[in-house]
Amino acid sequence: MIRLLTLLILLFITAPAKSQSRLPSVVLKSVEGEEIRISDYSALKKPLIVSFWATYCGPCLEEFEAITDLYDEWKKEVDFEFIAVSIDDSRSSAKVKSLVAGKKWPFIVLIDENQDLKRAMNVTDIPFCFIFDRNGKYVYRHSGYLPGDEFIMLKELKKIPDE
Amino acid sequence: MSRIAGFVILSVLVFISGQAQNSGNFSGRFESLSHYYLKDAELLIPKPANTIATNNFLLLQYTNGPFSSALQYEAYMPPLSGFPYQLEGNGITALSFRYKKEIIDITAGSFYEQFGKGLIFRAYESRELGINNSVNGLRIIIKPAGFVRITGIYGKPRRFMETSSSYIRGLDTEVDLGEVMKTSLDLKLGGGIFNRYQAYTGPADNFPSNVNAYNFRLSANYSNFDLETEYVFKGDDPSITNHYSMAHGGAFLVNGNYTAGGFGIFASARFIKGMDFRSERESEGNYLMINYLPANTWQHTFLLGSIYPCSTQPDGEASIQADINYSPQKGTFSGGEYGTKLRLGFSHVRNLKLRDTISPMLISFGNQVYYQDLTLEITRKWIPSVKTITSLTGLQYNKSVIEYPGADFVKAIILNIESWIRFSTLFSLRTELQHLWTKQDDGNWIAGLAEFGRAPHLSLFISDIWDYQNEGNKAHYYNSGISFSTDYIRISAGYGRQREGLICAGGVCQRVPAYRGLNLRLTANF
Repeated sequence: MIRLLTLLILLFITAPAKSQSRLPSVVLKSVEGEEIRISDYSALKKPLIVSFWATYCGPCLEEFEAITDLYDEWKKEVDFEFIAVSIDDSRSSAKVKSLVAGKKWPFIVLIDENQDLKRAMNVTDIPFCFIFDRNGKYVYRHSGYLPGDEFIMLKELKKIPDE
Repeated sequence: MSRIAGFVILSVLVFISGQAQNSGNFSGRFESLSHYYLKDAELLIPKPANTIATNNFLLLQYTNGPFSSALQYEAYMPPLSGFPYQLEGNGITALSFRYKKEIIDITAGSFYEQFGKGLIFRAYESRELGINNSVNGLRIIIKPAGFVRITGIYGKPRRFMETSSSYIRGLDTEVDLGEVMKTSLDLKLGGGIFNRYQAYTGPADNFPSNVNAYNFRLSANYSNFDLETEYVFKGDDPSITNHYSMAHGGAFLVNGNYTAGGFGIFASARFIKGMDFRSERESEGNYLMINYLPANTWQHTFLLGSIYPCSTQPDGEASIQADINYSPQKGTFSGGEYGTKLRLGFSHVRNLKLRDTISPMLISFGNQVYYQDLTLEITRKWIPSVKTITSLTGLQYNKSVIEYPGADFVKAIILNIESWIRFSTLFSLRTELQHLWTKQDDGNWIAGLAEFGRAPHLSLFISDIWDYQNEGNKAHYYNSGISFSTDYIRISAGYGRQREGLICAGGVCQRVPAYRGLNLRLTANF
């Protein structure tokens, strides 16, 4: 037991140095039902924000409303893509499409129904966001949402150098 | 799994991670939740013999090109109040090796999977409820062409810290006809067959050791309209929850969406009979489930919205649901200068009509209401720094069906006013004020919450729930907490009282006892 725990602690300490650095090759569904491999977005060579959410998550909806209000302004400053990954399971995944339309969200929404991407990216709680640079390498992550977090996201986006 | 095996595997992983800098990718997450329980005379809780309980999870993952591997360690020492006592202990609960390249995807060891909507099979994890029914065995996914996917699984489902006594196997196929026909109508056909084998050694004749289940599904997506449907049949499955009867089960589900600019409507109908499907026929409660039957209703997450949550009656129920989201144009009277969003949700659940004295008809509506919910929610931004979310819910809750026999049929109205106030780009305040009116059960409730935030690291909250008309118990369920997060760690600590009742996650509910105490939670993503 002690040996096991020692090893676990050792792993934990060494871990941040070699963390998850790229988008995993996991297939998700678009709201239109198409299968999309999330790692394919790296080919756009644009900064990417990947944000995990669910229809029943209040802070997630608040984050997306804040981003929606700022989206056009941000797009003028940085050419980026925002991908909202819903972890709604079969209870509520079917209603994602009408919710997205009803909320007029301008960004890409994908569905991770049995949480394969959530597991692959080691996400514990939602909301949880990652920012990737033009080469698909992760540069920032954040759990939870507090009003004002969106400005920190923009700051991180602006730090990403042009090619 | 033995400790020695675990030690060897971990040693290998440590070694690999040391070598991984150039060749592979090492990642993981850690989650720890601990409670310290206190005596509480008002809640009638004696001081427990063991005052500390803790649930811990560590997931380690390694990927290198097409190869990936994962290991999960869990420790419940002992499990938190409300979690199943069978989890007590610690050990490696999952280990998997996966190879995924081009048309093939093979996993050996522990895996999660879902066929269709999960009505016959869903292996998943819900740490909030202590549910993990992952399968230990083999999974093969083949995509021989872009439009066909075939999934085969074989293994033993997990039972708490070990594996169950049954074997499960299944085969599922999905064909994308839209891609074959190259039309703008996106049409998908799917179907699966599933089997559970649990040896029967009792005296009864003709008692099935095998239970088979089948599903057929069809979905169509055309421009701004979509429809999906699934039909399920389950063979005779005598078990403790159906009093060892030989009745077969079935389910039928239809979901549809229609969207237009700023408008979306979702509608659903689901019928279920005899669909309680478990990896062991002797098990009860939420554990050892093979399939997934979430409530076909909206999930309220605010304080008083979770007092009367709907949970599915697998023996038989009919449910319908509709949900409308609408954003009026900004600058109009209804849209306001800074934007308004509306949501109207309705759900209704009742029993099935009986064909004869015992067996119900699958697609039918009986005369007994189990649950009903009508909610109007208005989100309005008044000025750039102030926003309110106001919701009014009218609900009917058949407590004697959903919780325990003899309880009241509850009719309630809940008002929730939530506000978000930004003082600057970093400082904010979120408040919730709620009231629940009912003449039944424990009478009216009132609740409030205030959360102060300093982006991106710090938040503090206080809340209180008070059942002020309850003659027997006028306790305040107060809570307070602080949360701090950095790039990859989040730590939160709190003090307060937990109300006795149903805790729900993703549509599965579990009764938890009341407690007063301190809690500490740590999560890390690395």
